[in-house]
Amino acid sequence: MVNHPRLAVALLLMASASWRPVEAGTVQFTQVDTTDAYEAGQRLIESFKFNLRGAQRYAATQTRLTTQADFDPFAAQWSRANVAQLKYQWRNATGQPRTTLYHALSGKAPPAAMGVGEAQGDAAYAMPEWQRYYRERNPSVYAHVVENEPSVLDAIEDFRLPGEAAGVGHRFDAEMRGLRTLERDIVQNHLTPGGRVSMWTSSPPCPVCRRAMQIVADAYDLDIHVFHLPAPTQDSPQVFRLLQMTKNRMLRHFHQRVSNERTVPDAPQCVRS
Amino acid sequence: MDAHALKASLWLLLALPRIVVANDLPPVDFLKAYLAERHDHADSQVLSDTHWSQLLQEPSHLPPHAYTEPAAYDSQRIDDTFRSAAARLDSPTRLIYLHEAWRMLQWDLGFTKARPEDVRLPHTTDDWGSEQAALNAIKAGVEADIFRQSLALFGNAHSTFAAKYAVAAQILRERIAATPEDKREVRNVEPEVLARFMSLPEGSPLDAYDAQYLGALLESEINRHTVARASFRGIREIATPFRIARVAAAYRDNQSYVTPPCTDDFRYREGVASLDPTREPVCFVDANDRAVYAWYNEAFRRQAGLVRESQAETSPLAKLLALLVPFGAMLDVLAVAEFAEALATEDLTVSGEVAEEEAVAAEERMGGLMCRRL
Repeated sequence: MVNHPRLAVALLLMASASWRPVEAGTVQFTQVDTTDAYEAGQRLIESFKFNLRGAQRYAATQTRLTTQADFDPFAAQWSRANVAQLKYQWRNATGQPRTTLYHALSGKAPPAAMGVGEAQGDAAYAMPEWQRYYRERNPSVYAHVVENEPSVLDAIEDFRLPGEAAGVGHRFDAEMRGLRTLERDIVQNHLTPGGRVSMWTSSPPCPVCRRAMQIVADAYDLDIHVFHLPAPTQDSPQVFRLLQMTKNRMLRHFHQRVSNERTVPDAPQCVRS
Repeated sequence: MDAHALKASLWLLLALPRIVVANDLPPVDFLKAYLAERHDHADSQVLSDTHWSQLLQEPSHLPPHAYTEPAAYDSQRIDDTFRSAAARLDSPTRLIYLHEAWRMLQWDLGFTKARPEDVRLPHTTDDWGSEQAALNAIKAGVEADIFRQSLALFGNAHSTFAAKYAVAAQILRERIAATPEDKREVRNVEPEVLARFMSLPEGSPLDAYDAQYLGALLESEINRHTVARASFRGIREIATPFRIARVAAAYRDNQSYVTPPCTDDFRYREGVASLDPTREPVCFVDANDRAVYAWYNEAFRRQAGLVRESQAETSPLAKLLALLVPFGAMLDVLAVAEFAEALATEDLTVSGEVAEEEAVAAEERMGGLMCRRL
């Protein structure tokens, strides 16, 4: 049931076959070149770290996870995860400029990625009690999809690409999580529509995500500019190496961080940030 | 005559003792070249911080202290790897002399001071509040307007935090100048953040986003090997942790001392200045960057402790300061050579010159130090 007026209007308009808002949003894609790679990579590292910190707090509450070996499958999975950071620039009711950051990661949520619990299907991608672990501090927001929450992206009938096997498809890609969280904040009036999104992603967005971006941009009159790293098979291998090395380094220290967190929660960590 | 023969001849001519100041140093990264040479020659001996301290500081039968002088270049004390690393950096238009390489290591690893001859302060200036503050701030590469504004926002009680934001704001200013307008968005360079920072009235809290932005900028710089850049005064930039410490020292120098710890010619005053940099008073301009950093470390912990104790969770200032408290976790380690080595090795791995395993090993050595020191 849609109980937010802003979302209801967006869905109603989209139901019309010839729908196209008067002030449609725009979506633009730019592949990051080598000279810009370091700075773009820093955005992604920041978001990866935000997600990892929550996973660490979660792991610290799980008594069955105590050894490095317990975390190896998780590290292998998150090492491959795509990262996205959405920077949303908007104006508040008094016209002052504001910026909100959404930190998004693709793939399964920590419990399923760590092999804890029995979550199957969509539930494997949801983080239960996320506020307990992912501590948002203005302007940083944990990007996540809430099960059964209405969205303009419900217009997408199939989140899989042609030829992809049954499953969740791209519903929980980093870009999707970022867009869904931004949408939630708009429909709940935490911030205003009509702003500008700068989105950094660790790989070129898939066609389903590109379509989702256009739908969200149109529904909420957003200008979205996506800066994506090139696909791994293309040039600029250094771009990936630094990002991948940093992810690996943080994941290598994961067990250590969890141990520290168990001893003294929120104490300074004796690993490089 | 080939380049190396020419270099050898020139070196003979230049063998007379000569002071090399930072401005004369070529913009190259000698430490990285040295590590790459070691890799090429499969030299697996681990170089500790103690190794560099013994090599680059003036030998003495007494233990080194805050004011120990950097050692003069001594050709007897360098190895073949050192020589080939210098040769590796030669370019057709600029040869790297061994005494320059020696000075680069001293400068980049924090063994130099901030006296007038070190930072080439042309004349007395009080733009930073005092001459000694100016010397420290110029070595830190932070301009006077940013220096004053950051302290105006945070106050003397939080001067070690102000130092971090001052360095972050200066880095942002330099990035704005170096980034074409059409590249600012992709590189996340935001002139508006600096404009807001500079226009805030005294004692005003920073906007939450601006604080986060500047904090992230600083953290990324600390985790980056940034050797050989030039500061706003054209001086070779020192490592980011040393920059922060020097700015905080400048703030301290602008407060009063019961008895000044420095003499009028910028030397430490015996019997007054503490040889142990973690205890005040310290004659900062005569202390090397590492010693100033050791002082900063204590000062930051003290101020951060007070912030935590007075922790009104709802206070905007407490929240803002809390953003930077986690940096304290690794404070001790940022000054040691192993940290610089880990960053340089990471750079070499990214450019494909060494295998990732070597970066991991350097990282592990540093990680071991961190956990021991906590």
